[in-house]
Amino acid sequence: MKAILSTIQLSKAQKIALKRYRSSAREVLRVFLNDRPAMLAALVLAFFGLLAIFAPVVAPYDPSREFFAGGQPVALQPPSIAHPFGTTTLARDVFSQWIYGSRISLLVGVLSGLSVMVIGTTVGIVAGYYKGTTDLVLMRIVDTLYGIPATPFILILVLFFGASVWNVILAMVLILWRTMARVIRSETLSLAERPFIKSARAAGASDKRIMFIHILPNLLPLIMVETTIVVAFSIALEAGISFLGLGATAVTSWGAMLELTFSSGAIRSAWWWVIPPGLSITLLVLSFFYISRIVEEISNPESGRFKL
Amino acid sequence: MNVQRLKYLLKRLGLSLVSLWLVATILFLIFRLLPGDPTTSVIAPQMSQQARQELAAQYGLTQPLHVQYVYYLKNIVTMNLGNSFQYSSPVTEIISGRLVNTLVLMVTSVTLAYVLGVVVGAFLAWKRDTRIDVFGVGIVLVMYAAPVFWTGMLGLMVFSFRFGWVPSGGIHSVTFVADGFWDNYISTDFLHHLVLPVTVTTLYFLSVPALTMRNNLLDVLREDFIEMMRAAGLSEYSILYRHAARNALLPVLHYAAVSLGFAIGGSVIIEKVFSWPGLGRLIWQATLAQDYPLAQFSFLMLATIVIGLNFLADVLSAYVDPRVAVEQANTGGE
Repeated sequence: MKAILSTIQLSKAQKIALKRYRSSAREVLRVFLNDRPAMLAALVLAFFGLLAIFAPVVAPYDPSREFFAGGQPVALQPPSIAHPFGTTTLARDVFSQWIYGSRISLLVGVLSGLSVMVIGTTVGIVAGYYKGTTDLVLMRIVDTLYGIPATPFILILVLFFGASVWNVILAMVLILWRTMARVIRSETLSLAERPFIKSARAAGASDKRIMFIHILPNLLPLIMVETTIVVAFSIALEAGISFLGLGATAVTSWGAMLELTFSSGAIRSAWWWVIPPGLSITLLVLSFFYISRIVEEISNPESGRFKL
Repeated sequence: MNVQRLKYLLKRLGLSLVSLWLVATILFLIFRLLPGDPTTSVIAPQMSQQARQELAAQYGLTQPLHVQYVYYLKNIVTMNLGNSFQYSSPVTEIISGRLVNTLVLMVTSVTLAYVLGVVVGAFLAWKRDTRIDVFGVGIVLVMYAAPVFWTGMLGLMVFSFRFGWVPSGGIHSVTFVADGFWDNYISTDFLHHLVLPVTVTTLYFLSVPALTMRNNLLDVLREDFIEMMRAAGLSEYSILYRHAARNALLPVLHYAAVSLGFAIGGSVIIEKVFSWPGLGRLIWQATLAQDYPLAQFSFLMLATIVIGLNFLADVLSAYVDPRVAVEQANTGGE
């Protein structure tokens, strides 16, 4: 990389820009390395990410395999060497189910987060930039969505579309983009009043160019903070929907594991089946909160706050 | 000034009503398009085709969609919501009983969460950037990140199944007989059932007020008048609790109404864990049983409460901070 770079003749301005970019990247890394919670959060995310990717390799058994010993199902057994997290009422291995569950949570979180990011940012920028009737119509839709209680709405939509991971994601995105749109809109409103936007307009830049070349880059830190929060919320919400017995049916998710412990009455004794999925959801959601905080901290060092 | 505030509030009220109408329309469409004829769930499958059609006609399901829609809106306005498919008693009767149960639980825990949360948040801001603050914020965030149904399950495991201190769900013991309406909610039997759900949900709801209070207070503490007080020799304690906290508290109150709406919306999940016979559990049961009139109007009731509370939050902030109303009235924005 360095060798290639040195062969390219850079103008003086480009050299300064490159230097500035390098020092700001170093600065970001420094803030990150000095923040112990953020480092831990990154480790937790890396752990679950690897677990999700390599689930078929790491998991000792098929999560839906039923175990028998001497013709009898090995149901509700406490942790042992063969089953590190014990077994379920259906004599399945909790450890393997827990490993596969990480896939659903991360998939739902990331996919829902990215979709909300795209929809919310687009709506927010368009509403904040064009103002007038466009803004009025879009914000009326957002206002209406704010009047809809999220969990029951997702519940009914999933029933409508049919219970599957994809439909849970779709239903969540349909309601969750409201916050993103509102936040991005209000920031766009204030950015649009800034002198550099006015001069871009005076120089004859098109609306599209102003919105996506001039305004969007200035919104990036905010978009990142909000997106990580949406990811956290989506993971928690999916777990809740699965707990209602309406989430992923074909695959194992942490919420669905907890639903079965609850509905089968196994919570009376089977702590080994209750603790791993719940604790993992908590850790994952918490990590995304801390990641969003460090992004906020890097982009706005004065703040020192937690956004929820 | 007051004219502007009135104008602003009337506008917000109008917008809330528009939102309510839109939600009602969306609900109508979703429930009409849902797969499965609603009559199949009430009627025995062996019923003849003709009898089934008669029943569908009785519920108005054979009319064209726009006619059904007009009836639907008329029924909402006149509060004539028909009978539940499942229970064959009036929907309004079933909903109102469940609504009280939900409100008792959620109002109690949100109130407790705001009182405790404000104190915790002020304390964390006072200890800002110390080890106590870092750990305190961490604990508050853990309580927010942990799924409330899971903490509820842990609570049941420990305090109900292990120690037997609290019942494992429901609102009354099987043997309980109430003398009149109020006895349902002030008897020791009810309180015994209320303890665990209230504790778990209070801890869950506490995070928002605590972190909001901490953030606001940190902002206020940076302002000039605080510096002046320090220069005047006031104690750190007096500055924090007598002067700064008051200024930081007002925006938090605005969130209280919003939080209550959020809590009532989330009752679907919370009420399942504690087998609490409230509106959220009703929606869940009615949806699974394909009892559409009941599911539809319980949802509409929840949405009405959420929209109403959001409006209340607007009213509160317009009175607490008059700048809100003036700015909004002038710009016409949010």
